[in-house]
Amino acid sequence: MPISAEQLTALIDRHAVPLRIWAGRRCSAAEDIVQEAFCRLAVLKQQPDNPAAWLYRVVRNLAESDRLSSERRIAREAEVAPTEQFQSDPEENIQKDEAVKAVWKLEESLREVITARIWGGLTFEEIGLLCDISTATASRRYRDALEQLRIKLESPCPTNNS
Amino acid sequence: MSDEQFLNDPELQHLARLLGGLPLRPSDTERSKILLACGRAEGRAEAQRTIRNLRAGMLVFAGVSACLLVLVLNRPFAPVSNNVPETRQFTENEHSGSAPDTPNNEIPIFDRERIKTFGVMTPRSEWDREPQYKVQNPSPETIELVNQRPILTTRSQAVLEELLN
Repeated sequence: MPISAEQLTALIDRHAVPLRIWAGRRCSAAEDIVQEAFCRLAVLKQQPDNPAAWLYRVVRNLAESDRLSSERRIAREAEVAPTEQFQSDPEENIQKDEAVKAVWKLEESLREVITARIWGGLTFEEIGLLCDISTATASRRYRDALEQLRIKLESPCPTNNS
Repeated sequence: MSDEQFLNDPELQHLARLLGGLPLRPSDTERSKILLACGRAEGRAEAQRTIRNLRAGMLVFAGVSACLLVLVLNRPFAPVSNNVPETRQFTENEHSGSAPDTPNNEIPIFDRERIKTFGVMTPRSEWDREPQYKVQNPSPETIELVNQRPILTTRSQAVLEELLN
């Protein structure tokens, strides 16, 4: 049974932004990749058992594919016409929340675990399968990410007073 | 048992709850954009499924048509059977006075003994055989009838009346 419009809207509301954080800096077009993942979910004849886990996996695969093709394209273009590269920062389009910014600045391996755990609602076992790591590693990275976030969020904002 | 229980530090648990409560919702524009893209993708997929089914149906139809065509072309053609209606003689009452199209002595009568219906199982050697007819001999009554009733045209009738007057 395909996914209904109401379910799709609820999934978009809940997972669109976290999925962009999940895609992270792997690719330069996280927004397009998230949209493509939702499109693929919409055309499925049979909806997956866990749509959130399915979306996270598809976004990860698409982001990885996009990263590889971008690298090839950039290398090809650099050979033909070496110019200054311009890349837009995906963070610009995400909400400027302090906590989200702190998550965004985490190391990639930590960021994907904490995003999938907190906003994706996935279990550590599912995260381990997604990221090709063990369940113990996933839980350890999650704890490390939270500790780093606590340190970042507790530290005072830098001031211009010298 | 909750997954969060492995976090011994209550501060970390609190931080995780705070992060989970962040309103990470897409803007209305972004949601509409994704929904529109999903709708278009779904419509395109549906159209592709329909086209694929139509193609499959057309392929099956074309295959069946081709098989039938091969069967028809390979099947030997049998000649059309000669369905000659049975002739009968005119009686005096039925005679209309006009001359028959075919003289009575030349009306072919189908040879019933040699009638053979051609069919699929008819051997090919039989196909080229011409149907056999036999000529009916005029009966004495017919000859007499023809002799008694001279066939007069309008012109000959006028000449006869002129002579009689």
